[in-house]
Amino acid sequence: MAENTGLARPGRATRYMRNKRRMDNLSGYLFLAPAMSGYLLFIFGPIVLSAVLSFFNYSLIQAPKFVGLGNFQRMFKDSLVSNSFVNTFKFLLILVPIHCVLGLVLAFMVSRTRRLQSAYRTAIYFPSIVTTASVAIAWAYLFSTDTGVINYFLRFMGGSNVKWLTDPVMAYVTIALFSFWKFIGTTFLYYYIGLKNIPETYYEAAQIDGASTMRTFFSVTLPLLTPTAFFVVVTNVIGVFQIFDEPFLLTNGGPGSATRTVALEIYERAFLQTKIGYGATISFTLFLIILAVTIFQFMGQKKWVTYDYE
Amino acid sequence: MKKRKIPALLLNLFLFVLSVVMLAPFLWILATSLRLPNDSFKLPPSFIPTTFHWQNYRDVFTTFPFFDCIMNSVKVAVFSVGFNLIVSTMAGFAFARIPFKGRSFVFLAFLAGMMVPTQATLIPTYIVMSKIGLVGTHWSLILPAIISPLNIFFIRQFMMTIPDSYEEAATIDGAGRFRIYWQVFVPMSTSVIIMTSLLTFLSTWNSFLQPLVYLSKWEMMTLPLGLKTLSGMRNTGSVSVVLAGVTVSLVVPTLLYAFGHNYILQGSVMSGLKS
Amino acid sequence: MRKFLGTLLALCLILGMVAVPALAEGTTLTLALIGDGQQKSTLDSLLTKFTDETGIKVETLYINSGWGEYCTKLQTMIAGGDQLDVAIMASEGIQMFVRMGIPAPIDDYIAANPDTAKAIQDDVSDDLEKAFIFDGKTYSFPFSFNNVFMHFNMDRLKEAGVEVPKGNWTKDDLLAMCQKLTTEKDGVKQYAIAVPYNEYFCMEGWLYNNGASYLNDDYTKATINSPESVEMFQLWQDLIYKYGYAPIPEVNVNAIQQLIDGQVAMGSWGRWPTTSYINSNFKDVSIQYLPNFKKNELIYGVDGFFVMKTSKHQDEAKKLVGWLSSPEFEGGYLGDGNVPVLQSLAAQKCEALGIPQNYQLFYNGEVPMKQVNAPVSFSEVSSIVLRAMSEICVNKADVQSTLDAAADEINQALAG
Repeated sequence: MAENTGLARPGRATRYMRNKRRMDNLSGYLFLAPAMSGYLLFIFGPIVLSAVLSFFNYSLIQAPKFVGLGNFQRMFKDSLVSNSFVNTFKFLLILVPIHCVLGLVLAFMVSRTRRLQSAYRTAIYFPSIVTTASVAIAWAYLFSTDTGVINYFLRFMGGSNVKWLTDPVMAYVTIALFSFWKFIGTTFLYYYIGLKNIPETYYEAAQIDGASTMRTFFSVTLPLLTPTAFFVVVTNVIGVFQIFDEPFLLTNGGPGSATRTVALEIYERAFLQTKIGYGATISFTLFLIILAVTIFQFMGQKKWVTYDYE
Repeated sequence: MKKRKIPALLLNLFLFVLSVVMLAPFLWILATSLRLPNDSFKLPPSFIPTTFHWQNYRDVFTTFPFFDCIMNSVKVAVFSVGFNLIVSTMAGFAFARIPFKGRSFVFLAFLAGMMVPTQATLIPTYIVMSKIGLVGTHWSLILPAIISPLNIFFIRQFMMTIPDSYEEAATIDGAGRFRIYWQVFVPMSTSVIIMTSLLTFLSTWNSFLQPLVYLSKWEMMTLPLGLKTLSGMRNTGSVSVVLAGVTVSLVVPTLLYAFGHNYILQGSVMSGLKS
Repeated sequence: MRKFLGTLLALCLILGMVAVPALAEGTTLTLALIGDGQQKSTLDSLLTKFTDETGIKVETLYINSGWGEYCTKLQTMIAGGDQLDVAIMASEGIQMFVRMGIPAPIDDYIAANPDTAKAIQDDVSDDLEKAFIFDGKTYSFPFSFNNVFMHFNMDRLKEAGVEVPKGNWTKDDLLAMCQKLTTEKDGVKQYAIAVPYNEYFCMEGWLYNNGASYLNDDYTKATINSPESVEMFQLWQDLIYKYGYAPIPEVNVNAIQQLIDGQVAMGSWGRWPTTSYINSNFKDVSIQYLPNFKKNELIYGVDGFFVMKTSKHQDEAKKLVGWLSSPEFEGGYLGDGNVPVLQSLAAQKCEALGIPQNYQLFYNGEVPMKQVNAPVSFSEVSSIVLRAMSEICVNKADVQSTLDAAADEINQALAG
């Protein structure tokens, strides 16, 4: 389009572009409107409200009472709360490596099989889509000390009853076993897809260079999988920080308070004791911790994640 | 070639045993659900049904509003998926195809939303719901489910891979933004739409904490909560009946898996996990 | 694709319309009870009579937890705006409820219906009635009550060649009996007794017999760490770990079911297990007072139906409460379950049910009774007590220090 020169009124092209931009902005935000309202109502708003609530005592029936830093002081002195944070960290240390490493190992193994690949995929992935509550109930029966199936097999093979759900240390093992069985499918699938996304050309090149299977894995596959691994680790960490269903349904935080996680603590304080303000304090703190850990992970990603491989 | 044969055998053996272990609990659940209630704990346990006490399945429905629970779960899931789809596709389209001011910033804000734990939003959301009188209703479960940053992410990634030529052709034909969205991009995003729908469906179907907090009446409960209540009720009676309930609850996810697992694969491959 | 989304939306709309509950023509009340719901069908069918008489429909819900959690669940429902008109409440939580301003007094209903009220009040012991009167206002009529007894699986006793003990049996008798009753059958261990795990009420029953209690008499100080109380908790821990007479309690294992299955030979409860006994056709069961460690002071707890102040149908709700406390409903509902509070019914119903043996103990009132501890901050105290029990019985924690810590927590909770 020919531009007008030296005239005060903007040229047609510029006007067109400005209108287009305005239209773009308008339609962009219009399209975004439902998601934005959802985001404000259910993600952003609640977090802010949660932060505000931490400074109040609120039991739902009576009006909120301002207590300043009272809840925070209480939380730092509260041994049950610090215990639940410790327990949550224990779960992090146990479950994140299991899911992130074993998921990769299994995905790699399955990708190397030929005939039964989709059968193996189904078997490993299937438990992850069924309802946690349903199978947790069944597992609690299986792991029952005196009448459970697992102990039956142990006794059958000459061993003795293991206190799967009633020993403070074994409870972690049991929950870890259940978590592995139930959730390995998701990480497995992500890794599997990641593996499938690696172009054949890389493998061919490695083969030409005469690399063994192991060598190829460590020098070619693994580096190329780091974006997937990063995604898996970040989502897993966020997920395990919030772990609720498994400890609630299998041990209800027990024995005593050995498997009581932060999520259980929040649920008990806010909904079973109606200490809404205090519950908000704990949950907001949890959010800050998750935020810090995730930011830390994003900052560290440059060190070990390789993105440019196209 | 010798080098590859032995490991292949070991590999398959290991994976086979693992698969059996992964699926064994389901067999136990099914087999025990068919046993006489008083025998449910009798050892040795059964993995293959030997007795066929179908009465247990009938008991689940007659002594507990189990059918209501199933319908409630379906209702919540369908509504959640429906609303979520509209919201997510519109947002994904905006992020992928409309160059508007502040787009990257807003997108990052949405992604950051994935980090917010349910625990942190549950309490304030509960308070809001109670003030507008939605506690005890299904809307308290449906409304929060309409926003899912992960779904928006997947859809945006996918829509970014659709060649510009389609959009240009539609514009030349005189289509406005909305028509481009509805008549071009949405139809072309079938696989990712199905994938995200499945994910949303499964997550609402399996959700336990929200119903636990919001629902008290048995007739309003969704399946997971109903099962937990049933197990509390029947604990003094028969484990087999509870397990019959568990088996019934597994039907829908199984069907969905059979129908959808290919789409999940396809959709994930296409939208990719590259940032 | 469009068709798919369009169909999905249509489906949503249709389901939405179908799922919307039909607008009730009369009033519908919501009634909450505690329990696992095994009696829901009995309750619902009895309530149809009420609906026939008054045209008011009633929807029922059961909350399966201890009284502590039950109280908070009700509070949450009310605060959350969930409809709740009438709820059962037991002595443990009554003070807490009234102080929180949750129930509405029914004095106006009593004034308007003197005959109904009198019929109930004449047939109930004064102590039980007093539990529901605060500041001169009456909040409810007593409905059912419980003491705590030791229940015995007669088959297990016969196998071991042991008799049901006499009413004044001692701790040594208990231990001797347990020793004979701990055996092995087909490689599975058979225990003698189930400790009263997760049962605030039953636990205190044992404490009373040893001259102990959770709190002092005016509920201002914790006495859970008194020597007598420590003795009891230590006994429970020893029954599990030192002697091996009792199984370690598990969250998903129900002790009543263990008694029915014969896994344990005895356990302590009120009359409520009779519902499970009947449903499992378990007839060979007998009861006896708890061992008289230092004395025999029977614990009791009474419950009644309350009208919620926030109910939008006050008159209808009060009518329901009156009907629920009547002999007609009480007799129909409590064929099995708790003991009816109406003296004319108690003997009749216990006899009619026939189990357990020695059922006369349920109502013959020969032994002095003391109400279960019911402080204002009941929910919190209950939660602290149960957690201490869990630490001691499942985690094998040191009894004295756990109870000292619990006492501190309780004192804080009592201070408010």
